[in-house]
Amino acid sequence: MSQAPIRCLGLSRWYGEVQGLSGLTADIGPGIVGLLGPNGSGKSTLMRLLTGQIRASRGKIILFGRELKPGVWEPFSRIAYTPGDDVHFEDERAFEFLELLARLSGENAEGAKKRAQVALERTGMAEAREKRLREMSKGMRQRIKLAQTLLFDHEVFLLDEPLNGMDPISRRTTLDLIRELGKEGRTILMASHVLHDVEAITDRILLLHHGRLLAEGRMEEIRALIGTRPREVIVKSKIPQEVGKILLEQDLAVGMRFSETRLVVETTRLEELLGHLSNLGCEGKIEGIEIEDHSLESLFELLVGETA
Amino acid sequence: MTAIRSIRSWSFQRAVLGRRTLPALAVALLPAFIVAIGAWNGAWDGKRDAFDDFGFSIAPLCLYFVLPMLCMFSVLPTVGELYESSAISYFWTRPTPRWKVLLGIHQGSLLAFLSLTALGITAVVLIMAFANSNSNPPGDWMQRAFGLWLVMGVGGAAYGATCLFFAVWSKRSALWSIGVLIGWGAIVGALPGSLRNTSPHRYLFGLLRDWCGIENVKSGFFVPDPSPPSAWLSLLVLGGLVTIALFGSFAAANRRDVN
Repeated sequence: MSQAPIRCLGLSRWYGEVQGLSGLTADIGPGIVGLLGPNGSGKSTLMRLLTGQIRASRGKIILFGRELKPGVWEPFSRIAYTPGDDVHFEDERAFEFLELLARLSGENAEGAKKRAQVALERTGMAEAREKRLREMSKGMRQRIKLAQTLLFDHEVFLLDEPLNGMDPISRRTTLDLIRELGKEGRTILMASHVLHDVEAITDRILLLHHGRLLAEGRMEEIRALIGTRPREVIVKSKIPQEVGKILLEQDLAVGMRFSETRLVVETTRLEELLGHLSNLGCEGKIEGIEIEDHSLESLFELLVGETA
Repeated sequence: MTAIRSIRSWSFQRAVLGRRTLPALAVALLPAFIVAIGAWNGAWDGKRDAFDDFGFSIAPLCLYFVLPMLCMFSVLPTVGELYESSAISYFWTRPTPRWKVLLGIHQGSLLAFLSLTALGITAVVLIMAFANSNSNPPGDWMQRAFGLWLVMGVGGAAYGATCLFFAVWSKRSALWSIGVLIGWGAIVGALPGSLRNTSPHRYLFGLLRDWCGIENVKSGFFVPDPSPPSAWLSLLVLGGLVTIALFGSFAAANRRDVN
């Protein structure tokens, strides 16, 4: 049997007194794996360890059969990474930014231009190629971050919260893209604090909590533990009342709260609600959505309770 | 080489076309501003020679003030912002050794430094030469100005590499750079006594004498160094500083965490 491209062996990282990750041992093989956990659970720490940005306090990382050490950069020709932080190249235009990163990977000028254009097209950002990153919305910047992972034909994708701040349409196209990459047999580790995002693309998860691996396995087994507790979706819109009325007519909400520019919807039919919100997004009636995933909290309460 | 070239070009553009160009330009043009005021007030209307004043006042002003300030403006914000915003992740997760990225940044910053310095020195020469048309022939002016620009270039390479090291090694890179470039460089380099031998500035004055023929420089309270080192020794010492600072930066980049 071939070895998993990513192997973590007793991986720990402390930030002074604070434990970022504790004794994580896991093999991450081809396909999509969801890295799930609330903020501060160690997801980004793991991503940074896997990309050599921080050093492990203990344990080791094996990438493609070779131990990752300071000064080792060859594995990164096979790994694409999207940081969780915002992209801070404010003065650069989208095309320039991608071209720079392609050239930095050793591509020549002509090849880098072609790759940048293809990456922009794959993420639906071709029309924004001359736009400076500081002029872009959060969702557009997220897509640029994703585009830079598509510059080369990588085997492993490490995506840290790639859906944060995206509007419904971008969200759907991004999830489709990740699914497509997964079907091609690539190894994708997607970190998220939203259970639904992970559930939408994979049934394999690693669940982190306070830096520890709490659970590892199939989504359906874990999902069954949660039950059918309603989930909250925050909808940003200039016409929240009208949007709310439409959702009520479709019987998609079990509760609602309004403010001037947003609407909080409680639902037990999340998939259908998101589908409907995507359509409303296409019609320009909503500007963005955020899922308040209390189901994850319920899950942690359950698991922590069980393991305590 | 592609990686170094691309980062060099990016770093150069960031230093000369970015938001921080104006303060850097102001520093580079400060000597021109001062000589413009002098010319306006008739400083070279007959009694004094502009060519001598260029060597006596402008050259030390460039070395004591413009050089360290412009080096800091060219290097520290670029690298500091990359680390502070974690944007350095995009560079460190490419299949490119970190030293190539840092070398590209150093070269790009140095190009920016040289461009701004060339602009500043040219402006000074034009103003002084026009204000004192009876002074030395244009060939002398060009030789002296070009020599000063070269000395600034060597200083920029040495202090730029030093700033790069501090920017990669420490979160308090501005404090370290001020301490070393201004304190150890400009101030210790002007002090009388053997301590002056440890300062890179002493070697810059060695180059100034050999390449520009400038020996008598204004040095404030202190007596100028009566025997600055030879050009070869100066190049050796300053080249050594560049090498040590760059290797220090490469080592620090492999050790520093991206938060």
